[in-house]
Amino acid sequence: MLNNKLLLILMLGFSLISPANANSDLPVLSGVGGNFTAVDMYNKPMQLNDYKGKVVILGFGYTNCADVCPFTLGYLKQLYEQLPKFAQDKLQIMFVTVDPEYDTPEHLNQFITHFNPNFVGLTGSRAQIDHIVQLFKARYTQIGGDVDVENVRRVIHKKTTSAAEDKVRLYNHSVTLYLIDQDGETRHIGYTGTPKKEFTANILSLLEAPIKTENFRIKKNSKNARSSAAYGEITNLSDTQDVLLSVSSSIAKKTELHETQIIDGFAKMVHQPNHRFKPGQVLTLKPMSYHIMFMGLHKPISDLSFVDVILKFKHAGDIPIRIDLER
Amino acid sequence: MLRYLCLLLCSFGLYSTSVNALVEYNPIHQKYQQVKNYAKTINQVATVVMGYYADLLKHQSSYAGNYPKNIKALQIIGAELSEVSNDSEPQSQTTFTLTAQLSYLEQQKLKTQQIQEAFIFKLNQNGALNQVERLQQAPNAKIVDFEFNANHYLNRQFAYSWLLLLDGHNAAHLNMFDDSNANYQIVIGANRFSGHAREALEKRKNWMGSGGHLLRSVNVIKALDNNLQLELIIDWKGIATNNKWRIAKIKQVIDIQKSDQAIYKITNINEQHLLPDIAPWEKILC
Repeated sequence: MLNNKLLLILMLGFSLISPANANSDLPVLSGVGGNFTAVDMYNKPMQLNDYKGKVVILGFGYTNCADVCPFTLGYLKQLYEQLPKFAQDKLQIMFVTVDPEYDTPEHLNQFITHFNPNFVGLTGSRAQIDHIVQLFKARYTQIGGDVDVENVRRVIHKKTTSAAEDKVRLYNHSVTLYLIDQDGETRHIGYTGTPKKEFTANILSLLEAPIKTENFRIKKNSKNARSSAAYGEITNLSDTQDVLLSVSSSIAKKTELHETQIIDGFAKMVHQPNHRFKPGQVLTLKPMSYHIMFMGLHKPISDLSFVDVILKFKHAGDIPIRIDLER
Repeated sequence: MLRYLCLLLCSFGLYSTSVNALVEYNPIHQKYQQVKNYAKTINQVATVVMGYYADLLKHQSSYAGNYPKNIKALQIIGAELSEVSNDSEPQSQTTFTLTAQLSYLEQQKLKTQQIQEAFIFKLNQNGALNQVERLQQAPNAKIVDFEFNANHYLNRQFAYSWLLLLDGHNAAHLNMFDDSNANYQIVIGANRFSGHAREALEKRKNWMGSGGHLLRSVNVIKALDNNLQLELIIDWKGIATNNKWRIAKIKQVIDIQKSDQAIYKITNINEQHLLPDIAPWEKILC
């Protein structure tokens, strides 16, 4: 008997040898990026290789930046919040200061945490920062000399010991956000003008979706039918339990996960809200069992060639499926 | 337990079969073949055509009778490749149609002409030129700058044939240069390697994988006596050894000593990978 435990072992074996981000069309940008060392906002030495296995978004800036940096971090905060939980868990956003003399780990921590405590700020020696800038083909230049702190509009004020210490420098710097894959290779670049939907899609393309859907089909029925059903398989590939919160489509008034149950000798279709998927679980949708039910069709299903359905999971987020109609 | 192990091993076996199938039918792999074929074809035909025009401008062409005498400069203003070679079709033929303007001296007067001609290649003959057909010819074109001379075309002939070598092709016309004593330094992000040209090329392949180089520009940085320094900007696309699609914008500075036999003797190659031009805003500073 092929029980669930064995199935999970088989699938984990599969995922272990499955090439990372195999579904992404994003090319590696040769010579852009690479491993580097820095000091993080917790005052600990780090290197990019510590984040292997995670997708990284890396950008440059500094805490006294009055315009593009707060805007960029606000953009990244929104981008991060739009991602499903599983993607948030596998993403690290990094902000590298171009002003390491001013941006101490403590000050960077205060600045970054203001936007999102899951982001990480990086500083280090000037040589370390210049090396990172060079690796990513970025640029920065200082504008003029030191400026009195009261003349600078900024997000967070530094806890300084004396006014004399709080002289600030202003910089021009690259606005590029580098999307780095789990192997530390740069796969795309974006900036605050990149539509969030596009950036999100690029991030997700690098991540293996924790929910796999396959063999989905819908039978064409009569023109007068007001409802229809879809069958296929849904597999939870992740190592955590997930919950199917809802199913939606634009072809019917209601789209739900149903199970056919025999109650008092009659077959009844029972709505299955918040269906739980254990790690490795495969749910087979088939006649007289689980199925996706379309109720109140807006037009005859026989007029369509495919149907787009979205499965909304608690952790995996939205999983789209395009279901072809059986001929 | 043994049964579980067998099933696990079977699943790996099945997986590896499906991966092999994926490699065969993978769209990335198909894209790779297209890029490789296109780069090979364009570099083969361009090498021949650049050499053809260099000979014409040096007044050493066997086709000179089809052109005005005493041509001083020739500028290509349009190019179209009709068909790309395909290794699975050994009889494939490619036509490279070029529109060019030329300036020539006739009775002490500078005259101009615009021509359009088709270079027909049989690619199974290692990129050999089969036929040249004149499609159009009209007098009174724009006067061509004299920098579009034989050296302009020789430098490009060298560049295109060098790209063929970078892609691992052996073509008959590769004997226009000699890299036997060349040093090659390569910087790809945090990775640096150097050595003798052919050895460095092997290491480079391990890093970059396989694909196609396309020439974007050739700039003469230095030309003094027989010493020449060229800067090539090249686009590259291909599959890296980790099976990922990869693109590069490459800058190569190549030091050359030209011999009397028009052999380009390469002494040094310095290669850097730049940020590929994929976004118009990428050089903006704020």
